[in-house]
Amino acid sequence: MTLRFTTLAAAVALTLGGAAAGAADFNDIFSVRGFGTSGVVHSSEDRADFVGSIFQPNGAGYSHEWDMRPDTLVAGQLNMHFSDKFSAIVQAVAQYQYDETYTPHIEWANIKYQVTQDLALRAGRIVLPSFLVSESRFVGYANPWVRPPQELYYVSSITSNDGVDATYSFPAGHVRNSVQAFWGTAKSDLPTGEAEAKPSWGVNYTAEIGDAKLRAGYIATKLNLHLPSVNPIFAGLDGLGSALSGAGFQSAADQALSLANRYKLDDMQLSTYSLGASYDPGRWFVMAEGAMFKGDGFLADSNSGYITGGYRIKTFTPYLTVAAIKSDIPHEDGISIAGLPVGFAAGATGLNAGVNTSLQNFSGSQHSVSIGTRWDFMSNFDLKVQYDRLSLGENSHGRLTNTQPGFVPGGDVDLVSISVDFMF
Amino acid sequence: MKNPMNKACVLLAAAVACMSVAQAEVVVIVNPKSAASTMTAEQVADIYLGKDTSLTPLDLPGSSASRGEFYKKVAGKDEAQIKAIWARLVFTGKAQPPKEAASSADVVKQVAAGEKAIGYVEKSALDGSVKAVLTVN
Repeated sequence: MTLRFTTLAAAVALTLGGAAAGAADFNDIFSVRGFGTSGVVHSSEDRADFVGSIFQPNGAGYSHEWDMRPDTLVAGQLNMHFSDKFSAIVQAVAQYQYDETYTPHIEWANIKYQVTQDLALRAGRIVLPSFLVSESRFVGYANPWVRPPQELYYVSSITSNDGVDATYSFPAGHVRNSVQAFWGTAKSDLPTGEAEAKPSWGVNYTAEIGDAKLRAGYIATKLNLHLPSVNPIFAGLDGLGSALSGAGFQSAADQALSLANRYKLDDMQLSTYSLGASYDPGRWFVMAEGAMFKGDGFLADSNSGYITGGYRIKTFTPYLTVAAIKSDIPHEDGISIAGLPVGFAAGATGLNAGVNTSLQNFSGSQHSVSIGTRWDFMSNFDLKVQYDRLSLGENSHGRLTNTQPGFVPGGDVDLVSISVDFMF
Repeated sequence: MKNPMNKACVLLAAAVACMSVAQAEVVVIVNPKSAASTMTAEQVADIYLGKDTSLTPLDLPGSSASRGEFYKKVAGKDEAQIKAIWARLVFTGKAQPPKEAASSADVVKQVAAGEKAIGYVEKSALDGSVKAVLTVN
């Protein structure tokens, strides 16, 4: 409760402070800034929702034909520069979330100690550096698109860690190299429960050569998902397992217990390998990223990536993005029902179906083509219009959620998004 | 600076001549105590794009034509691109954007006073209190 209140108070103070002070520096130590996006999105799929993150319970399509909730957000930030050695940053973000509110949360709150010109240490709540634009994931104004390509950015939905990191920078000729190592824990509320990363750690390397940037990263996460809606499957498997064992059907009992063990949502060991590159000489830009995700439990392995490019014509920057995620969802044969009494067979059939449905629900495959343009129509504002054609994978809901009776997996979905990004 | 320029235009009554007068030469300046005697456009661009934080950059006011010319020629980027780049850096806390000075004279004054300061001004605003390390053209 105290934490909630502090979070809220800090966020409100930051947002109000930011609005009142604009980009003005109070003095050399404190600077208050903010950014945000006001956007609306339309989806042609009326039996499922398009959402901005896995933390949103509903969105565009089924719930609202045109919906502001997926992309709209506002954030306030306080940068504190105490000395050349010590600085700190607090960022509060308000966006539509699990409980159907826009309650602000503290996205970052960390202290940085610059040990030497080359080595920096941070402690506190720090961005989880999963991908190329993770640090500006929410800053629409800093990015070419309405939103970072979901096929890739959904792979790492947790965006910050409570922990520590160290960054070592070393130039080599014209190349600016840096290596970052991090460790921390995170807890996030989901519409259907709670996700707890305990811990996640990783390393990443970036090299900048003139207008080119390369990045390679690795993250290992031990994830616990507390999802009440999935618990009946595990309770059912455990219950059926002991009943089968008691009745002398030991091999079916073992199958039930091993299913429960294989797909449990506790202590899942996840890892993500990623590679990214961008090149922006001024008139045009191109960037591409790929990630290989190794799942556990109900979370399937996946490969994902995107390539995007744009060309600047005065204040307009039209762009094209192609993105895809392919999840390797296993089909689980489950408990063999041959020779089981009718009651046990019915229970096993139901649980087998439940396991396969969950496997589909937890992972999605889709690819998309997006075209759009950014228009820098006035200082500190841009307007973006984007059209996405999503092609959902076979039997997959892709990245859509809140699917309703009548939803047909594997179809095509058209999205139209209009958003204004701003910073102050 | 504006008035003499306008007068020159009226007197010359030649658009081409006005263009060349208006496109004042821009020079990059550092504190006289700085070890650098010359800098390349790449080095200056790295500082103004937040890649190199060894010096503290100063900007001319947003209304200054020299500011747009400086970024176009040194970094090959226009105002909106520069803003998007700084949005990325500022909101990650990686670097502080250039501070906006009140005028060219103010840039010269701040560079003369700050050992780690770097700025850019029209050549006509130069004086002995600062050191010119690059002519942008």
